[in-house]
Amino acid sequence: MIAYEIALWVVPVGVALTTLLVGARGLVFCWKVITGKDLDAPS
Amino acid sequence: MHPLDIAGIVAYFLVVLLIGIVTAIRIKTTDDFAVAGNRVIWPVLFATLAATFLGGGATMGRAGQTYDVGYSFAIASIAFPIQTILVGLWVAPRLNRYRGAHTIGDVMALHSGKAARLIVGIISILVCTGILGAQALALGTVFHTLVGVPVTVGIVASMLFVLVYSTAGGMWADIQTDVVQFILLGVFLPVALIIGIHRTGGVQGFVEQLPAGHLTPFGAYEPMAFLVVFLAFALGETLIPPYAQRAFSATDPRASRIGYAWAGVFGLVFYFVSATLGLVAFVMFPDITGDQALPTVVLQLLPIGITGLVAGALMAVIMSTADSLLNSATVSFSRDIFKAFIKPDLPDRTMLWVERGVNVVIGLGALVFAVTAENIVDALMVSYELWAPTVIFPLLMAVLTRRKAPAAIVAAMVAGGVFAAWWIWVMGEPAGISGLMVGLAANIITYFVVYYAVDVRRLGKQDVDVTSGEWARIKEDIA
Repeated sequence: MIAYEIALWVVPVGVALTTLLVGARGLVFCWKVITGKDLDAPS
Repeated sequence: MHPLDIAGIVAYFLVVLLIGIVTAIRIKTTDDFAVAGNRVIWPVLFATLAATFLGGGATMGRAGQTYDVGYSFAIASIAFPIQTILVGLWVAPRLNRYRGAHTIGDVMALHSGKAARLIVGIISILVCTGILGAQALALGTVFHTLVGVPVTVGIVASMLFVLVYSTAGGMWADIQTDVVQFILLGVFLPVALIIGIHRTGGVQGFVEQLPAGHLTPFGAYEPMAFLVVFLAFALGETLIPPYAQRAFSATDPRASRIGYAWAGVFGLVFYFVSATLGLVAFVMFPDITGDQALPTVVLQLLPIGITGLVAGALMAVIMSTADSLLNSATVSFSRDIFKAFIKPDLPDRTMLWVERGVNVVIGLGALVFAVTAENIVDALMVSYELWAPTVIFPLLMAVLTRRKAPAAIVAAMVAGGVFAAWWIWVMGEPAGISGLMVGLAANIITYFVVYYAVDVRRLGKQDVDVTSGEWARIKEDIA
């Protein structure tokens, strides 16, 4: 039961937090694209 | 649905539309339209790839199958994210070295020639258009279930929406809207799972209400049946055009490797979330059918406000897959057929407008097929079964060995396709052996036989250098 407790809490919370972290970086990138500011990478 | 939930869905649509329209002004070249100017950093590649491969099948399909048979189907399907991790580690960075390539046809043209480009181009268009039609049907069903509009209205409204932003902004718009869609699906489906488990009585109450068969890894599967499902997930969608295009679009091979492989890890864990949502539906609503599992959880279990956001997430899941397939079908046609065989000397600016026109035609075609002729969508989906037995092995050999194999690549694709089609549609897949297995075996054997019998004798073991003058000439031909 402890394994289920861990899996059923850790997995959804982990997925959501990972999404927020990666998504935040993605949104910064999108903002730079939309506003036409220089992107991190060379063309 | 409560007005607050409707407001959440409308807000999502407005944000996505705004991104698409604003991005349109950035699109100046076919590089922008097809591979976002090769400027995609790894977190964005991670998000766009995950949003693309997590479509209706990975969410509603996975929840529905788990509702019906338990975790065993989800366990067989983890072959897909495992494959994504392996491709990310070893293939995606090498694909990224083909700078200037937009399609798999570009890579095949370098290693084999125009015939290989034509074959891959045709299969790419059929596979992408077929899955796109299926996603359009799924969008109509989701709209119908969640908002209550007729299926046809749902298909037309959502596909026109996808068509507007993907035509205006190409890959740039797809990638940016994918980031928004990734956040929606990656945050709100886990939230739905946590709420769902709480409503079933917490983790202990939830697990105790499940039949033991739903928790066993192999369930009622016979070993061969499990192997067939596992292989179908491992190879069925490997490096289909939207995924390959994302590997090309990264800033450099390292970004391609990290973004691609981590998206696979994310998919592995996300499958557990969507599958477990199916089990929540099983406990709470034992009298529905599997395909109703996820929408029922969303509509019946979630509080006001969250329902709208999760409903938006479900629409986002499918739309992010549909826009990528539409873009890939367009780029494959424009690059591998139109530019290579019909009008090779069009300037890039004109070619961009050709791509936008083709995008409209393919998008409207998929919409019309989905609304009026589901049998055409079914027919196009048939081509999906031909992807793995034809393209994957020759492509892997090309990218991993760098060898030039003009005859072997074409012969292997033809043999794989013919044997798979014969086994599936003439023989009826006897003894539970899938067409994919037979076609892939023919594909691999033919590749090696023809490579050593023809290509090595004629050319020797000749490597392709992606920085060579030859690649530059091909890039000039197709640019």
